[in-house]
Amino acid sequence: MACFITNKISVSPQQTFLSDSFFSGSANVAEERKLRAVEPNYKETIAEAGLRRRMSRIVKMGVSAGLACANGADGVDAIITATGLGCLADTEKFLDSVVRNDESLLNPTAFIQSTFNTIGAQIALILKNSSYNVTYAHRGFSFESALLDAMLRIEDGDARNVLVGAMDEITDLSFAVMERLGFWRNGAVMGEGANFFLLSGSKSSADDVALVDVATFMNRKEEAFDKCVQGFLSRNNLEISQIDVLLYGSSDKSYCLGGVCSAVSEAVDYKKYCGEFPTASSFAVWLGAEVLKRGALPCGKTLDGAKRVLVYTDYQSVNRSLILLEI
Amino acid sequence: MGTVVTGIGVVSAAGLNVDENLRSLRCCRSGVAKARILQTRHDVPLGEVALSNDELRSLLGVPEKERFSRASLLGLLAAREALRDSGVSVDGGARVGLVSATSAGGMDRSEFFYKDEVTKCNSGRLRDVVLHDCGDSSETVARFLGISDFVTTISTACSSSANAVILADRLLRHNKLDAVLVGGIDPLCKFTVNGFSSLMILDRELCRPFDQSRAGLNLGEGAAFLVLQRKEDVESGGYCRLSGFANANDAYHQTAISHDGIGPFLAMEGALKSAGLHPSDIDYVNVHGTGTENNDWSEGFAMKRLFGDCVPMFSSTKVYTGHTLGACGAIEAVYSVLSLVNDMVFPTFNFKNAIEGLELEPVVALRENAGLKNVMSNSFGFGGNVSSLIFSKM
Repeated sequence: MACFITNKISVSPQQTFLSDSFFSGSANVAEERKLRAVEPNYKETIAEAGLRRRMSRIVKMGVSAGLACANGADGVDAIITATGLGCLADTEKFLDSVVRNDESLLNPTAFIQSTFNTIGAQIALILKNSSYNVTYAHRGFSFESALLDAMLRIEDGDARNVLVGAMDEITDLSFAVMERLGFWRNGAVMGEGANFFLLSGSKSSADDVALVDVATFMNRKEEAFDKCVQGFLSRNNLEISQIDVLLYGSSDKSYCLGGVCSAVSEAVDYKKYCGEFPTASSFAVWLGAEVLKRGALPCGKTLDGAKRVLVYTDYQSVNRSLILLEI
Repeated sequence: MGTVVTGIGVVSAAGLNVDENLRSLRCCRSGVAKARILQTRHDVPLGEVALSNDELRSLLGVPEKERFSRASLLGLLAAREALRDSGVSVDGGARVGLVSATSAGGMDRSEFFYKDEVTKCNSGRLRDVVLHDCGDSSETVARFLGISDFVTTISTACSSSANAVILADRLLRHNKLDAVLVGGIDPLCKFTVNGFSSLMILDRELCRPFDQSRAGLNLGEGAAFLVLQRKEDVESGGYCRLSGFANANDAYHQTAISHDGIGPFLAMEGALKSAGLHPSDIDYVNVHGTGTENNDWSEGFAMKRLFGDCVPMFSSTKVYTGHTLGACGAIEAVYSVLSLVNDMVFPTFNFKNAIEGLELEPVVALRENAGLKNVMSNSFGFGGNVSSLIFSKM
């Protein structure tokens, strides 16, 4: 049920937004355990000043990435967004005013923007796009669910081009809460970003990367997960030896696909570039597609004839997913 | 071929299960009243589920040590009822998934956390805030019921759970799953009450959908789930078919629907198309009908455009439950199934005068032997997210 990534845009902690410099080997590193996104020049991405001013940071990031990704598309037949925690800063802002003002004299702006579908809705509004529009908000499965929905729509012929993207943001409160919960204990850093893709049923150029398959796994024990990987590979008629690059992003650094990891010649921890957040796998798909297109890893190492990337993501050892890309 | 509804479960201000809800609907008994459980300064009627968290917990037999948000407790009650009703076994070899939907998620607990975090110098209890996100109630319900093949959550404000139904159908048609427990959950919390209050769209009286004097909505809470299966996999019929649906975006404003209801029109028209039905085939519309100035005008306008002079019977059941946000699509889907199965239209009993310029009158008294074959259910949300579902007799 493959579909093709005909455009992709990444706002990430790296120089990825309409920029080549990430792959020249200079990666940004975390400061105080946070990998903050390198934000676009919003004056260029969101032309209308009033609109720009009203938008919070995550909305600007998401809308910028989404609009840039849809730019030049031959029609967008569905807009599918994903977010683990939504517009967190707006949510905190409104919650703060409810508590501090004791439920009186509240400004609705933060409430309005706090809904999880704000970014998908704003993109539809700006593009005047009345097609299918939905938002997934389920921890480490948010982006994967969006991909699955997009792929099935394309396969059914209900859409030719689907704009699908994911976003999450760092806030001081969420960082502090997760710190108290022990999220950053074993070396993980908090990340954020907005990654969008234009998925199509057919290629727009010869080197478009195919999104071949996506699968989610709830609450599987590590021992049992190797079997899940085998099942995923065999339903795609593949052996592990046919995977050229494994991009893994694990919450638990001690486990990265056990046997699978050692069987693949190139295994890259992608969360060291984007940090930990519920929709980090969306950065991995951007990265994987870029690796296949360039035939090179972000460290600069060239790969000969790399055909397939497997993205493995573990979110808090509860949500695990596999995504297969092919060129 | 096709998708059938084989189980239903619902908890709302109108009752703790399907039977209680049906009784309220038949007797025109609203569950919307003065706040009893939620502590809020706002003196507005709310559609509260009658039980406290502790009472819900004991009804469900949830152990004391388990920290559940109100969202999870409500969700579990409705989801368990639907799953039992369907007879689907989660460990009988069938691949069973959960597609849930919510707008507030575990916000009721986050509010406690945040208050302490702000007023008592970072002493908010972590066990409260870990329940915050939308996925929490879905995973809790899934874990409690033993569902692990597929779990996800949709959040598109007030159309969330209608969109969940749309995804569930696709997962079944693509043979990704054999049965889907699909629905929505939303608890009342200060966050949403204050949000809607700040938008000045809360009525201080019982909401009056499609009435000229309407002055806003009443918020409510609850959860509803349906079990959907492929028709060919079901031996003994099921309640009805899910025969059509569509999702569109109004692309007009972040919180308002366009005056001419273009999004609602597209959603209803798309649902008809996907069902292979004509406008005249629809016998009854369970409208979104929140009671706000904006919604009811736009929805009515869109219905007139779609149905012309022959607008079918319609009613808003939000007078029974209040507007349950992310749960309303599923609650009203269950009510639509009840309408079809019992062949009755539940009335918007407090209607007096039609909106000037629309002249549309909802059903105002219980209509039995209504001759229903196809029922449409509308759900519209912030962000222009609008969806329509159609349920049809087997």
